[in-house]
Amino acid sequence: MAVDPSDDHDRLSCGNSVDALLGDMLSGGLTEHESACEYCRAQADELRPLVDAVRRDGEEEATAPPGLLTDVMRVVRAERRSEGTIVLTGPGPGGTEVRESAVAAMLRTSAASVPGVVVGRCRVEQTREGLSVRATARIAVGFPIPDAADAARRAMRSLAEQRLGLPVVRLDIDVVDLDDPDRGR
Amino acid sequence: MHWETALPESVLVERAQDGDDRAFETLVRRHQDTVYRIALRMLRDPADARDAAQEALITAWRRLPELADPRSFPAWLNRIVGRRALNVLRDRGPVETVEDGERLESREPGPVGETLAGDLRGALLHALSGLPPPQRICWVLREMEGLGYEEIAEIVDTTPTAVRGRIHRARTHLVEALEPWR
Repeated sequence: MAVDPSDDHDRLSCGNSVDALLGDMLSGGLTEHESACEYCRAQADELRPLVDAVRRDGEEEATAPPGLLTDVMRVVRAERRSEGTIVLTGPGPGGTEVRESAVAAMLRTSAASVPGVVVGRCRVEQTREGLSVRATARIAVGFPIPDAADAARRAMRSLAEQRLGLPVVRLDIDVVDLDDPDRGR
Repeated sequence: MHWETALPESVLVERAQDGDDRAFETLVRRHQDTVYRIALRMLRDPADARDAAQEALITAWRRLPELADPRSFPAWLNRIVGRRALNVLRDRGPVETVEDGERLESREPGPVGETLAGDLRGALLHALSGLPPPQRICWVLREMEGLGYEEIAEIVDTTPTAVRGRIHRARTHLVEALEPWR
């Protein structure tokens, strides 16, 4: 393996880098070599106060000040991107409009009743004929994809028809993942 | 909406990209401590750090549709706050913009330094404030927040090799400064 020349000043006589050693000391996971090697151990002695100081700093981790979340969300809500609306049909006079983002949220919620399916993106567009929906979905391992996607499609379609009174002319589901590794994080 | 906390993060990111502010709120709740801490460690002033964190989070909301891979959201957010804090440091004036490698006059200890002086952690924070900002930033992002060389290089607009060099110099300075605790 070629050694990056810029690393030379950072290397111990055994070939290990000080940066790697420090990283392992901070994470508490010394390699077998680092625990046994005399060069690494001598260097570790030098780094010890620094490691202790960084650890202590980590223990007293600063947390975001109260009010930060509220202030951020106030601005966010004031300039919500999804300002488009879906127009519901009715006898009039007067009309009813629902924000696209609210419709998208309702559609996602309806799909949440289908086991093994989680909807991420959900874009709703109103055409002359009805709603056109494009969604991304994750389907858990063990659930047949065509069945799960169909069930999600049925749930979203019946919600649009029953609660909004609008036909769905197109409903695309992109299955983006099968078993999300960061689930539950 | 606490049911959202059970969702995978990439789902929340996708929903927030669609303009779902509740999904974004969950993301802010989850990441605001890290965002604030990066700003605080770079700026060493709680009020400046709060402002930088707030601006970074709002910027993230505005630019979210540009994010191609929802999984990279945390790294992307760190980049935004890192850059924001760096701009604040640059705006603070010439004392903060000395060339890499020069030793800074120690700034007056800020509120963080004052309350903690005298112990090992206080000594670290004091020693950090004696570093030129480019070195301090690289050190903080690498050793305290665990970012990679490439990520740091993107934040500070330099090469990964230069980042390595700065971290090396910072570490040498800090090890010397903490020598009395050996």
